[in-house]
Amino acid sequence: MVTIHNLHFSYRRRPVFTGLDLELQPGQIYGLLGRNGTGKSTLLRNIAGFLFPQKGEIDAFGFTPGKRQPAFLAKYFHVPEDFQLPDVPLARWIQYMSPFYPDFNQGQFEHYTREFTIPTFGHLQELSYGQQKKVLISLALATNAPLLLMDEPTNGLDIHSKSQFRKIIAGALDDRKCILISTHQVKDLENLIDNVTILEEGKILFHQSMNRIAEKLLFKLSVDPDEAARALHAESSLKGQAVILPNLEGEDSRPDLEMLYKAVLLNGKTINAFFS
Amino acid sequence: MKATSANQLFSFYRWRLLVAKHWTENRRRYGLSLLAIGGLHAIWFSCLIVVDVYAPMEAFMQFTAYIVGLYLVGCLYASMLFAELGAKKEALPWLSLPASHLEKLLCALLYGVVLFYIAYTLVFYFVDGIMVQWSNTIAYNHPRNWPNSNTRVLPVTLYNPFSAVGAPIPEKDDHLFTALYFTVQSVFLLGSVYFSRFSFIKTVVAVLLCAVGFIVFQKTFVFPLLPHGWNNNVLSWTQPLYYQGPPANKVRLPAGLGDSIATLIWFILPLFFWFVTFLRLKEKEV
Repeated sequence: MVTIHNLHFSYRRRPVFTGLDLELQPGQIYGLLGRNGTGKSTLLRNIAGFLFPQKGEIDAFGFTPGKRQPAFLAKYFHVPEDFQLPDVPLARWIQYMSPFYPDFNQGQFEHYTREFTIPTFGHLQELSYGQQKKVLISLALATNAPLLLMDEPTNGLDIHSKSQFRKIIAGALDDRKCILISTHQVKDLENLIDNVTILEEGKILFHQSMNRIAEKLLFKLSVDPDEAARALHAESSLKGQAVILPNLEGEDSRPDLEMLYKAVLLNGKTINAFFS
Repeated sequence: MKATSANQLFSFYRWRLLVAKHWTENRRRYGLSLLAIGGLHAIWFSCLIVVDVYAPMEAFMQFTAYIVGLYLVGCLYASMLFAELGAKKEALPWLSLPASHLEKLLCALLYGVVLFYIAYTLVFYFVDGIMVQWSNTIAYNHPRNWPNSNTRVLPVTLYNPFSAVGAPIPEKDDHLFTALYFTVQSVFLLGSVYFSRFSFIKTVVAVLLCAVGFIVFQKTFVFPLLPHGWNNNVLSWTQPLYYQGPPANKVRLPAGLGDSIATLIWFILPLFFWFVTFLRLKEKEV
């Protein structure tokens, strides 16, 4: 669906990507994690064709994103972190935006706005920032664009809305769609994403599916100091030590994204070695 | 619809959608702006009528108000047509909207060039018509129009932009001011894509710098090539000089070349700047 090969990109003299490779497959939700300024949003904007690679190639559905051809633009929807909706009634906005997306489904849009409990009458500017974001996410999902690029989609959403967001996104995914979510709110993506991608110093530091992570690594609480000493990563918690261990026995555990993220940043080579 | 290279460049269906979208999002702002333009013209003409009761609305004054307003408002509007591209939160949805760069440019040209020109002219003549009527009523009742007066205050007529009677010679003969407006406006349209912030001010500065450069070029390279005693009237052209006839040492361009320059100003320069704007839109990164 999307193939990125040897991507080089820099802002003037500050290099962001130096030979990044990545492949996105349909039917998957990717969580893109990384420190501030590592290029999460920049990667999304390169895929969307807002920025052009200085070297390397991006292929999305057979298109070069930088050309911004309408047929390509209709195949993805970008939900930016910061946005501004026009001062028009919501219904009117949908009426003139939807024809640009051939697979837009009005029934789905109404379903998502109902799930998000957004008032569908009145002007967009009368809605709060969080409600506007939910309207944008509803439109993004109802376009049925095969690729959804979301930059910090849970910023500005309250606790209940974040839970609704996870539920709606999980329900909206099908074999044809791919969703790439960039965030630093890792907790918001737990139980939602199928793949974790961690960016660091211009390259993909870690890119694995959640199934593989659960298969190779064991996340548990331990009170055994020897076990904590053997751990790939350990953190103190109220109930003992939260640890990541090699999953040698094939035990079941739920990956803790925040711990995994920290472990990869601190000890990326060792963690990656278990997946090679 | 199958994605052929032709319909990736232009599709009337998508362009129509863009035009409808632009109208829905901006109609209130446009309505208020036209009211403001009409109001400013009305205030200006009222001041003229109050200050000068003899000939406040003669053709030259109407032409001046029309053309100065056209240049100021038209260029200001043009410099805002791609203002979305200056702010990331507006630029990203604008660029990702499934329409080609050409369709987005043609939509901007429809509103910024064609419809603005028509709307501005209609608003101007609506106000101008009322003001000319008012001015003539005042003039009719003026003591100098009482019976047995020798110096009557004559009524004025509406300025006609097609015949341009009463306008300066370049406008009357070649509609040069009107033609130049489209060129200048196309430069401001390019400026709105080229400069991310303060595009109007930056374009004004760029245009002034180009004008200064052109004058320096003339003074340095062109004038030394001209015959001794040659008199440059291009930048200080006045009607009395024109009527006095060309002086013996006047250098005139051949008629064919003059026509070519007029064609350049009328058609080629605006097209050139619109094309550069199109290229700039294609390479715009946000």
